[in-house]
Amino acid sequence: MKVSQSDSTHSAVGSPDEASTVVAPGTHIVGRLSGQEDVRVHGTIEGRIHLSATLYVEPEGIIAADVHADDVVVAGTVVGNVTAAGSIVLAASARVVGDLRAPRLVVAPGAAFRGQVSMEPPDEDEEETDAEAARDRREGRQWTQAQAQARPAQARPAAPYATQNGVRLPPQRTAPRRDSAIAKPSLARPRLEEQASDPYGEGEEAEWGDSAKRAKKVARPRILARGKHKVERI
Amino acid sequence: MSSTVIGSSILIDGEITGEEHLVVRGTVKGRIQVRDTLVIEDGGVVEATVDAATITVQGTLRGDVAASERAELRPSSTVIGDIRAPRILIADGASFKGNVDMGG
Repeated sequence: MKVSQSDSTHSAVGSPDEASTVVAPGTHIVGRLSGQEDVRVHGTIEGRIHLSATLYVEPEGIIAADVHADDVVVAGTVVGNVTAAGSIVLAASARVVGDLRAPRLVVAPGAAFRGQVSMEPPDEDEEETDAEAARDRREGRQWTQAQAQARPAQARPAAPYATQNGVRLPPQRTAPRRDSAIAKPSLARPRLEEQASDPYGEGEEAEWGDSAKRAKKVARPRILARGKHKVERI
Repeated sequence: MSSTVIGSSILIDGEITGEEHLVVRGTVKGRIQVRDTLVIEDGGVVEATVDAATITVQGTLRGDVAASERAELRPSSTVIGDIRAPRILIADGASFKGNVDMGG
């Protein structure tokens, strides 16, 4: 399947032909949709989609459903897990929340996506989704809203909390502390002096800021005066 | 462009609501509610309660039908259910079983 990176998916297969299914902008479908032909969604579909063809979600289209299809091209909004036998394409205007599973995935710059990606071939997970499908069928379409609400939380990656004796610690500070500007030069200095070609350590002095100079004052007693140093070297 | 088309291989089990023209060539079960025209084309199967402005049936329709303007059963159509519409056309060759209510 050849797909352009444009926002609209029309150019992917030329103009929408008579044979394919189109869901117009003002149309809302709730329930299960299955079939063997391309479906182009400008409107809204809630529920479950099972296609042996390509699903196109146009820029104004909204899908709140689990999707199984051969190929999926998203330029609109999808909330739900998407499984494709072929490829999933997220165009620049795509907004997707859910897990993606397909051997090939294209995400255009500008596309918004939150969820997990799996490019492994479906194996035991497939049975899992089938079991899920059977459960959904029993529960009717009650699942639609409940799952759509639950999914974003599921898709959000867990915060990396460290634990100590069963107590969750706050996340590690990533931004440097303010006082580290002073601490850093004095810490880094010995290492830099080893590498410096200037044996007197004067050439690098200009590089340090005021805080570095303060730090150097502490270190100064260890640096020999120029004259003495020369004598020692001879 | 602003019409919804349900293709011949498509099965929808649920509810379709919309503002636009709806063409059914596939199968729809459940409920259909459109503000515009519903056309069930030859080969299309609808097993649903239907509510639309104008309904044209060429395929098969099982369920109760309410049209605010017009209901038309074409020669190839099969309809089982009650029809409520101010104007009803039943063509020669159409198969129909049910009640007709033209208001009044």
